[in-house]
Parts: sequence; C-alpha cells; structure tokens
Amino acid sequence: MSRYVDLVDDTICAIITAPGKAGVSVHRVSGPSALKISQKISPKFPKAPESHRAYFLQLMDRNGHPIDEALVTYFSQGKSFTGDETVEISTHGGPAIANKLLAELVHFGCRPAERGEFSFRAFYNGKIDLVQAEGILGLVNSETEAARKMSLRQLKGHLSSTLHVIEETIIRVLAQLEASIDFSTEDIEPFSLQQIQELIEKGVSLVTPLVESFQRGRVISEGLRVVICGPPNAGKSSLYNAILGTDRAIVSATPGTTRDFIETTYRDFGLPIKIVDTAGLRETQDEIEEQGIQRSVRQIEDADLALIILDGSDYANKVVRLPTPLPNQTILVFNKMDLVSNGEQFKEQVRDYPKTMLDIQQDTPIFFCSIKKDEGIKQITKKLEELCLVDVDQNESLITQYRQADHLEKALLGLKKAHQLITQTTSYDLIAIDMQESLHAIYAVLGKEFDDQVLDRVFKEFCIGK
Amino acid sequence: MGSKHTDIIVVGGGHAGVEAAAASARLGCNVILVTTRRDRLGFMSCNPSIGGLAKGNIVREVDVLGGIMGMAADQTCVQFKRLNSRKGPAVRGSRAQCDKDLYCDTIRDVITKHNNISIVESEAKSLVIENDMVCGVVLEDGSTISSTVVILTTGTFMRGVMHIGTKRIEGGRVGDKATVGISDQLAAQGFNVLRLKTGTPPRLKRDSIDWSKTTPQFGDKDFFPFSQRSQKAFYLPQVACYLSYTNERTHDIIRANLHLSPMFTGQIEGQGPRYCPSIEDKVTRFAEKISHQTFLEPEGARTDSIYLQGISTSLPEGVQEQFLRTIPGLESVEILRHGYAVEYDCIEPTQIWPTLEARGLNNLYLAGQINGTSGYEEAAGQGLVAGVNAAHRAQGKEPLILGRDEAYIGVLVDDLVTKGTREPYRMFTSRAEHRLHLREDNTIERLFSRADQLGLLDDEYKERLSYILESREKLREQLTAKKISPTYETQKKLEKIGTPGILKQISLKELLRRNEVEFRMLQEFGVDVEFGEDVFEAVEVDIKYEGYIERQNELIRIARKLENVKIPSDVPYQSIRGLSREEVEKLTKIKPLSIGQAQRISGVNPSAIQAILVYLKLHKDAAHANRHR
Repeated sequence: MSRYVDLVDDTICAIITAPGKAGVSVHRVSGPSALKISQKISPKFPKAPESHRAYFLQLMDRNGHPIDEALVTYFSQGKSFTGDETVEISTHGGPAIANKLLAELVHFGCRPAERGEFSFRAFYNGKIDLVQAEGILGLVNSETEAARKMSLRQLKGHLSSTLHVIEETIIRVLAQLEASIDFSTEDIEPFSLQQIQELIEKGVSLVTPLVESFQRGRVISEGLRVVICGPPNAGKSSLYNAILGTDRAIVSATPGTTRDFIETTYRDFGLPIKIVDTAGLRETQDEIEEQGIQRSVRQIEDADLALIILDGSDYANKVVRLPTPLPNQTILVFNKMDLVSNGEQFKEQVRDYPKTMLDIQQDTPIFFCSIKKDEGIKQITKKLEELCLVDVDQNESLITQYRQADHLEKALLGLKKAHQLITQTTSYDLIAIDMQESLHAIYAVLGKEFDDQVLDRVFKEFCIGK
Repeated sequence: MGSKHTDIIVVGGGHAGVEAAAASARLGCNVILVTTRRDRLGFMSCNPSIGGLAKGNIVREVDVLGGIMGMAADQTCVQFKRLNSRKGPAVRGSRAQCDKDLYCDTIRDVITKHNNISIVESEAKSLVIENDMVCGVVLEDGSTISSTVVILTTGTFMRGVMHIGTKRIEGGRVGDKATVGISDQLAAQGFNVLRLKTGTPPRLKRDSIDWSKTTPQFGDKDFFPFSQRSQKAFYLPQVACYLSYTNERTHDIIRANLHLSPMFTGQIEGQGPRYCPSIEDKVTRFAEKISHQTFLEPEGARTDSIYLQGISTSLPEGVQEQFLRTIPGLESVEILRHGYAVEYDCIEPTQIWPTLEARGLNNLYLAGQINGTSGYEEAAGQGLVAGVNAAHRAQGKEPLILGRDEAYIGVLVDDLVTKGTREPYRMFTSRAEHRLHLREDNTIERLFSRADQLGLLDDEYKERLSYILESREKLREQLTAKKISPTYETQKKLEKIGTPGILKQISLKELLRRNEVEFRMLQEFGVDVEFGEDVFEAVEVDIKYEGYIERQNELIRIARKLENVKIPSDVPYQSIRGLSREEVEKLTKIKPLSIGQAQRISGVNPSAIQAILVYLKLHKDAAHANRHR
C-alpha cells in the first residue's frame, strides 16, 4: 500500500521549523479539516477566524490538560502556502512540547505529512510553478533518499533485529490464519485460535517496549530531562544551583519558594542534559502554589530521570508526595547530612527506604550530601552523567522518530484488537484484517513493500496440494 | 477452401474459450469458436470440482455477469459444500463436485444452441497478422478465417509436452494434440514466453477399489446454487467421496524411484505451482509427514473413472501402480489413466493490458492458462472479460476493466498484468485486500449494475436479480423498523434463543448484531420467513460486521481515488524527472493505466508516484491551455 494513500484531500501536519535548538517551533496543519482540528486543540479558537491573523491561545491535550500557550494563525483556503485551508501553530520551542502537540494533532485526525508533501500540495493547487515544483521535487527525492539511508543505517542495529522479529511474528500469525482460511480443505494442521492468540501476545510483548521506548528514544535526539523533585525545603533549588554551578534558582528557607518549574541545559557532551527544578510537593491551600505543584507533577511525568531529594535531618516525619508514574530512572538524595549526628548508622537505616517508603525501585542509587557544606555534590553529578551515558549505550531498541512511534502504535493497536477479537469470534477474516493493519504499520517503519510474504510463508510451512 | 469473415474468433473451447464466446455472442457479435474437439467443450481436464475458496466467488461473479459456468455446475453437481462457513463471512466458498460428462454436455448445449456462435472443428495453426494487428487465423487445412478480433484461450496446448517418467509426449492433454505454431509466432512478435508446469493425478477403475477400507465423505444437505437461474434443490442425486491415506510404505517406494521422476531429473524446466505439488514433491519437501490424505472422487455417473485427489505424479507407470497399491483400498487397483505432468507455454502476463488485449498486437485478446493462470474458474473469469472486451473492440465501445474492489476477477486480472507470475496463478482469498467486500453473498450488489449496463443479462435474469436486491432492501428496512421491548414475553424468547435479555427497546437490527444471534432466530420476533438464505445472508453479514465493513469501505474509497487518476499509455517515463532507472523500466514495460495500478508495481516508490502526478498535472494544464489558445 502506498504511503501516499490519500493524495491531496486529507489533513496533514508537521513541525516545519528545524528540530532542536530553535526558540520557537511551528506546526503546520493543512487540509480540509485544518480549522476543525485546530479548534479541538485550542478550544478558544474563534469559529470563523480571520485569515492571516494570529491569535494568542492556550493549547489543550485530549484530556483537557494544557500543553502550552501559542500563537495560532489561520490561513483560509486559497490563501495559504499549500492552497488548502491551513493553520500554523507557534509554540515555545522545546522538543517535548513540539512532539506532544504533534501527537495530539494526529490524535484529533491529522496524518503526519510525508517529506515535501506541503510543497507537493502547493504545486498541485497551482500555488507554485513548475520550476519551483521540480526543484522541490528533486530536493524531496534526494532528501527522501538521504532519509532512507539514514533510517537504513539506524535500522541496522538492534532495533532492526527487533523489528524483524516482530515482522516474523505477525507474518507467522497471518500465515496460520490464511492457511486456515484458504486451505481449510487440505490435510494441514494450522494453529488453533488459542495458539494464535499466544503468538499475538508475543507480538504485543515485543512491540510494547518499542512504543514505550519512544520516550527514551527521544532522549538521544533531544537530550535527557532530569527533574529535581521532593518535599518543600529539602533543598531542590540548592541542588539545582549546585549542579549548574550558578544561582539560577532562588533559594530561601521559606517552604514553597519555588512556585513554578525552571529548566536549564546543563551540559552538552553529545547528549544534552536538561535539569528541571520543580515546586516542592506538598498539600497546600495556596491556589497559586497548588498550580505550580500541578505543573511540576507533569514535568516529573515527562522526565527521563528523577532526582528525589529529601531532608536527611527531617525525613522521618514527613509524608513524601511523589507523583506516579515516575520516570524509570530515579536517584535518591539525602541532603543536610551536616545536621545528621551518626552518618554511618543513618545510611544503614535508610537502605530499604526507596522500596518501603517511596515505593520506587529497590536498586535506586542513594546519595548523601550537604549542599550547604558543598559535600557529596560531585558524586551526584558523576552518577548523573554516568546514567545518561549508559542510557545511550545500552544495547536496546529505541524509537527516536515520531513517525516510527506513530506506526508502531498502530501496529500495537492492530495486535491488541486481533487479540481481543479472538475471544469474541471465530471469524478468521476479521482477525486477519487487524493483523494486516499491524503488518502494514511495521512495513511502514521498515520501509518495506507488502507483497506476497504471507502466501510465501503458507507454502513454506504447510504441505498443500490437491 | 474459401475464406470467411466473422466478428470474433475464439481459439480454444475450454473454460475460458466458452465464456469468451458466450459473452461476445450475447453482446451481439458473430463468433466462430475453433476447437480441435467439439465433444470436449468445457471439458474438466483435471479435478471434477467447480468452485472452492475464492474460486466459488469467481463462479458467482461470472454468473451475475451473464456467464455460463455457474449454471452448468449447479445442474451437474453431485456433491455440494459451502466451505469455511464458520470462519468468517468473507471467506465462505461454495464448491460443487460435478459429473464431468454431464458438465461437458451442458456447456456444449449452451454453446451450440447460441445463434451467434458457430463451431469449427480444427486446429488453429497460426494467426494472420497485418501491421501489428491480428485479423484472423489459419487453420490446419490451410484455410483462413478473417475476423475483427481474435481471442486466444489455448490452455496448456501451446507447445504442450506431457511427461510420465522419462517419457515425453507432445500434447496438452492425454488424447489431444499440442499447438505449436502460435507460440512461436508470438515469440517472434517479441512476446516473452514463459514455461510453466502442471500435473494431474491417476484415474482409477471404480470396481477395482476396495471401498470398505476408505471413509466416505458427504457433502452438505443444503444447496446454495451458484446461479440464481438454478433451482433451489439438487438436480442430481448426491454422491460421496472417499478418503484414504498414504503411508510410509508408499513414501519409501516414491523415494526409491525419485531418480525416475522428470521433476527431479531436470527433464522438466517449467515452474510448477507451489499450491499443487506432486506426491513426489510432498514426500521430499515434507519428509517428516508420515501420511498424506487423498480423496477418491467419482468423475461421473457414466464413467468408471475415479479421480485421486492429492496424488498428482509424473513417476513412471510401473512405479505409480506399485505405490498406489500400498494405499488402503487400492491394494489391487487398476489404473485407467496414469498421472502425468504437463509443460506448456504462456505469455508473460505483464505484456497484456488490463482489458486482456495483448500489448503491441492489436485486436488479440488472451484468456486462461495462456496468461499464466491455473484453474477452471480463473479461466472462466478471464474468458468473460476477454469476450466482453473483444466485442466492445469490434463494436467500438469502451473497454471493461473490473476493479480490485469490485470482483475477484478484477483482482485476478490486475495481479496478472501488474505483477506477472512465476508459477501457475491460482486465486486465494488472501490475494484480495478488500476480501471482506468481495463476498459470495453480495455478488449481485457488486456486479448487477455493471452487468445491466453492459447488456450481459437477458430480461428474465435481470428481473430475478433485481427482485433479490429489492427483497434484501425490504428486509433491511424491516429489521431497522421492527423494535422489541423488554417485556416478560420478549425476555423469555431471548432466553430461548440463548442471548441475554434487553434493558431497553432495541431494533431487530441491533439484536442481530449480537455474536450469538443468528438471522433464523429472528423468526421468533416475526421477521418474514419467506426470505431465503440467498436474500438474508447478505443482509445479516452487512449488519453483523458493520464496523469492519465500514473500515473496509473507507479503504476502498481511498484506493478508488488512486484508481481514478488515469495515466495515458503514451507517458514518456524516461523524461519525467525524479524517476530511477528501474522505475522507468518497469513503468514503461507495464504501462499502468492509473496511479493506483502504478503504485502496485513492485519497486515503484511513493516519490515516483508524486513525480508522475506532477507530470500529469502539468500535461493536463498544458493541454488545457492549448485548447483555449
């Protein structure tokens, strides 16, 4: 199936600014439903906006949580770059927000644009001439080629072998289904639906970590987000400043001083590390503080690593409010060790603390420091860098591109639907439809054409013949 | 001998030939059918069955398009089965085992009685070609028939060679001669000719079999005829098939004699079908399997011949006898005709237009095994398309191309001309990406208006098919309108049919959506019972699988858009910027008629499709500008 399935009349979207460092990123949404979709993502967008006018609006995700504030510009049909109705959304940069917005746009009905597709539509709608079109087309082709090579290179690694195991599993399921359908009169014994279901489960267990790895895959291209969190007055902002070696965050003895999160790029050694300081997590009656806490919670959820900091002199009496889910990686820091009388005994006491009190992984590294006395900071930064490096080198499959993640999510959905269907019906043909969607999605990631692979497998596996 | 002229000559009287002749004739053309044996029109050369999975759908399609195969199969059916009845709505397939002689008689009757068809019993030696245009055939006596169009349906007869052991016999079928000239002539015209292979199992003498050692297999009690012209009850008494198995002794003998099999000695070069391996293939490739099943199928009431399904072989006669006698029931079997392999020429089908016209040789249409297919039904479907298109060519009308979303016949033709084939092509349901739509039950919905527009149906059949469509519409309305409420009485009835009670008023349509509820159960709630299965099945499937069908329809809608962007056949691909050399080569060779077809060619990338779209757009704009100058 072609990737250009819908030619020119569905609604497509993409980030049109260069990835990474830009302060602002722009999303373009173009096609007949551009306005409708934009209104879903920014509920206050006027019903009939003026063309070429920018509106300052809050963007909301599907659950009604704010994503960011943005300038949203509407271009009516015929008056846009592509010639189709278009909306351009400028957000405050930051790949996390940009990707989040892209995912929400797709959720509301956009298709991620192919390379050069905006230009293609512009040409198709008579907005650019032949010379421009040919130029762009040539560029697109060479870019596509470059992109193809790039993804091929990427696909050579561990990811590729994982994807091939997934492909193999899905083809195997389909071969069993098709053999049961097309050769039901033959003397063969294809898998029972129950066995097929087990095979599908295997598929699900292979695809799920890949989909989840998008979060981690993002790390490679966009850097690692480290969030400092903990109860008020544990020393989060002090640690933040200590790691960065600046006075970026305001430090005070008053609990609840940090009302909102702040973030800074810490160090860029191939992999940028962003450190985020957050508001202290506690029950509060102060509305503004509570809002800050909510924003911090979302930061923590989006982070790759959480540095949980507790007051060593005062931890036992405090209920620590940790958000769930926490990032997979956590580090626990006990601050204010200068106020603890017996250090060694203390360390012994808190050994099981992560598991028993915080309900985080038992092997969470624990550090002890006194920021005030500048003791123990180096060990923390060293560990931080170490963890970041390990994260990149780990021999595991990572998904780094939004499009890949999108396809893999479709593959997973197909598998899950097929799995569920088996419990309800014996309609092999319907189960096959979901499995085929899954296979198509995997092929979209692999850049492979769907051909006779399933039939080939049937003939290889089964003795068929009249 | 003098020379005569006709509109259309059909060379070959097999399943493709007879449908082609019948379709052309129905559209008002005068047809001469050239066959070496008048008594073998519509002959079933191999297995005695019509239909099967995907194939049954083709038979129904041929029928709604006015074809003859369905009717003949219904009238001569001696065992009927609806396959996969519980494996999903899209993959049910009807199969009729037929009395071979009666089938032939029935077909011959239809053909000979047709006013517009005359039969010439002769061999077509060569084509008459003038200026890259075919305008007649030369017969074996040297006489010539001239015609506006020629349809070739020569089956396995083009340079056909049969193999039994190390013996080679010229011919396309036992007892019939091969045709040599035409194949060479086509090759000389620049057509790529492929060599394919197929095989057939031994035929056994009925009373030499000890039936007590075999297990009888019966067909269905219910008949679901292919054609709506047929009666609803079986025409003939139904018979059983008999099941037996090979064993290790059988396999030992086969293994010990593999060196005598032309398949293994290299005597056969042709590519055989993977779905129909010989017993020597099965024993070798699936060595771990200690037993293979075989069905003993009577070929007809007038003959003693028993077809041994599953045991196609080209081992020497003596070896065949030896291994067959190890099979329970066949201990003292007598062989009426030994199994053999046949090699034959076909035209590489990517050299054919989707109208089935040969590219570069105008007015020549090809159908059936000559295009690389296998199977009676595949042949019939192509014959019908070739017949309609030949007639339309003779009459100067628009060609017929069935879509992949309209019919299995559309899938078949598109696969052949777009992808080609390396082995004899057989239809499988899995080849159809829209198979949920290409069902047996909705064949009339899919093809009636086509058939009607083409003028392929007589008034009586048109009325019959319209009536069914209307009845289905009525039933749909009834199911939507009729509501049931959660009364005590209703809940009792629901309990009786084995489904949970209802909480609020629902329509029967909603009730039917439930997994465990079948249409027949709705009679409890006052649905007209007069609707037979031929009416209600389509309605039931549409309702039950609505979600999936809607998804499929959406995909069809998207695919249609690509099909609707037409590509002129003279597009100079070499001058389109952005195409790779491989893409230019493939596109130039296959000459796709639409963007949809182009993107199905393997190795043609999405960026190439974009480039073609840009070219087409420019071309159209330029043409438009010129017109208005």
